[in-house]
Amino acid sequence: MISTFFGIEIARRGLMAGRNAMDVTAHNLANASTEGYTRQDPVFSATDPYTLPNLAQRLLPGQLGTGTEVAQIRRIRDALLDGQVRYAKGGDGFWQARQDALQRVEAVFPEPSEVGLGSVLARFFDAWHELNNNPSDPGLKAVVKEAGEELAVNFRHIYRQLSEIRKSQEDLIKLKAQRINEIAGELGDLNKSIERIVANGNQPNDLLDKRDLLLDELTEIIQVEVKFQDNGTVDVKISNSTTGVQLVSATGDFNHIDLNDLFDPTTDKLTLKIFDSLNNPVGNVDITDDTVAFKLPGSLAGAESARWRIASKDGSGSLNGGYIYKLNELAKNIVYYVNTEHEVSGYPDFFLDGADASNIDLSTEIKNDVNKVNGEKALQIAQLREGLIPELDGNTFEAYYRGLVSGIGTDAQGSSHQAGTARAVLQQLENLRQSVSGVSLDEELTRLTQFQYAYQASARVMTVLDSMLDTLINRMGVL
Amino acid sequence: MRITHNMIGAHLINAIQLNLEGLVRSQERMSTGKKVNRPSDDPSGTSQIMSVMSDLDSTRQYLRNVDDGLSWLNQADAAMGNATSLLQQARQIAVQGANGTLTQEDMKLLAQQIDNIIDGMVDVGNTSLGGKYIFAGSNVGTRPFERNPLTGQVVFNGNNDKIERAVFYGSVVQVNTDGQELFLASPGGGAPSIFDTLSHLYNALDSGDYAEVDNALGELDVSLDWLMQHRVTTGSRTTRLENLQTQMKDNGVRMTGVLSNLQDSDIARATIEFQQKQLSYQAALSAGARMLQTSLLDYLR
Repeated sequence: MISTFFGIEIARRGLMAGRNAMDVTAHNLANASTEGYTRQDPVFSATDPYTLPNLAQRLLPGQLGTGTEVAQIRRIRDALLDGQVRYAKGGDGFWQARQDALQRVEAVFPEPSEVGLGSVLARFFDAWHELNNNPSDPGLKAVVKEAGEELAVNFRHIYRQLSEIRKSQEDLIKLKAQRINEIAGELGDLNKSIERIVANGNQPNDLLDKRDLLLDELTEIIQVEVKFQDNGTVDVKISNSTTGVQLVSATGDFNHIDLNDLFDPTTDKLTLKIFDSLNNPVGNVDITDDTVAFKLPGSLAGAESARWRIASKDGSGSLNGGYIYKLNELAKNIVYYVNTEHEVSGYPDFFLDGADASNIDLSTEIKNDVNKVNGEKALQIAQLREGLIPELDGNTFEAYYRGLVSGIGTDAQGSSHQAGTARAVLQQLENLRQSVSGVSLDEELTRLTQFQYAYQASARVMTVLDSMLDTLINRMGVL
Repeated sequence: MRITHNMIGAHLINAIQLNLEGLVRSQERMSTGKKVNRPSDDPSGTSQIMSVMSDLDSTRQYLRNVDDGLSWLNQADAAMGNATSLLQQARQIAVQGANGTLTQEDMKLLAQQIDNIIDGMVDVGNTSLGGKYIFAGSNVGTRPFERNPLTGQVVFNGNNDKIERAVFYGSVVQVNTDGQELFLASPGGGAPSIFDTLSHLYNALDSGDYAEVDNALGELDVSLDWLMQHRVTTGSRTTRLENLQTQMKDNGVRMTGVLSNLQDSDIARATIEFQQKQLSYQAALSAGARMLQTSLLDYLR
């Protein structure tokens, strides 16, 4: 026999479930714009029926339902899409970081224009032509000196800017490594919390969102292998194409990258040295690959690839295509060839002997006395402009410089195209993910109305039962 | 596909960004008038543009060199023209002195005229261009010819260096004439130099020696030939430089055209592109603004 007040309990459950569902909806609405938030869905399920069917017992015609409850708050997420997004993030990170750096490099060379190094170089040789037309004119000697000075200043300026960009890439890489460490720490802590909550039989939806957001951010920085465990925790390894080294383990332990020992002092290559919390070495991940086609997912590798495109440390690495290396070659050979022509019959060097782009300057003698400019050799020096220089792969100075500039242009253009493609792919995937997991205001508002009515309906049941009991208790006994 | 409001927002932001980027590129092409504004706009085009710019610069410089060379050659030609007329005057005087009918006094008067001609010839040898002595070799700052007032001997203070101008890629032209060779060297065949011929004539007239005057007359003809040879050399160089000048000016015009083709944007096209981009930008803005305004909230009580 069921209790007189049984209906009240069903109505109560309905009210509770309605309120619960509205709370979830409110939570969804409140987080509609939260980054990484996954919409949640209350899963209603009928509570256990009053009796279980039993062959030996037949008290009532069938089972009687006992109302509803929110059995679970579901997190609507597609793990496959997550994997794809993470993969796309790596590509996007790499090309974006490379493009950012190369665009800055490109800005150092204002070409094609009348103010770039190309024009300065042309003016330098023109000045020698003019001097040849008037070999002893002190005015024209001063012009040559000025043109030489301008050339030297331009070279040094470009060199300094390239070096600064290169240095800033190092700082950027360090910051990124630092961020990896922070994320590792956060993931470790999250692993512990998630494990605890799951062990209590709950689903930590919002913590899982946070974890997935961190994983997204991490894959944007560096390539990782992610393994999800059954208890909601995650195991993360930093990897390049060959090795994988533990960063976060499912138990909540996490390791860190040594930020003070990123670049090898001799080879200048970037290696992430990973240590555990007791500072015992765990393993190394080599990032730098000194080939032009170097590519590894993540913005850390992107920044490193741009750094190596600018130059290896001393410019003598196997990546001789480095911009600083080429700039140096150009400056060195201009200094050498001009000096060789200039320093005859008692005249001094025109440029500081043996200088490269970092320290190219007029020689002290020329600086102090404009009359030391050798007008007799003006023609020979002017004609160097057309000379094919064996040290510059048989190019003229200007052609070599053009090669450098169009090379930078090609690199920047390639990176920008690739970055565009990677970005488009990522956006598509993020759209798909949003389509699955994003909060739709219209949808939530509809559900809010729906749950509101469900709540009102349960309340109405309660009212009906109330008046029924009123009749039963208050009116029936009265004579 | 399920669409959320955030997706609409993100789409809108992307579309606006893309459109704005295109709009700015378009606007840059219009305002700079150039279609290549940085190497990555067109790497191979950049290289070509820089190459043509460098060629244009070289051509401009070569034209200046040619102009300068031509002024040297023209000045030398004018100087040699003066020298020729001086020699022709001397020849007339010699013809007068050689006919044997003049008195010693008249002969001495003629000798005096030759003396003046020698002075004139020294002045010709010291012809200058913008303060530079053109027959002095590279020693352009010093008067190359000097006549000793006592002995009447002419000495050369210059040198035999060539003055050269680079007039084209790998092409160098000598623009001076060796003054020592022209005035003080023997044309060969035992004939004396121009100055020696003149002083020979002077001495012959001064001493009233008809036979020697006659000899000097023969030498004068050799000198005139010698001078003519040098004028022809100078003239042929002038022609060569003038041809080069015409050629390079033509080339310059052509290369300017090529450069313009390579780097200048087609303004009509850029304007239309700009309008198109602007249109799609405005469309994105207005569609987005309308989409974002509407939600179920507008209709719920």
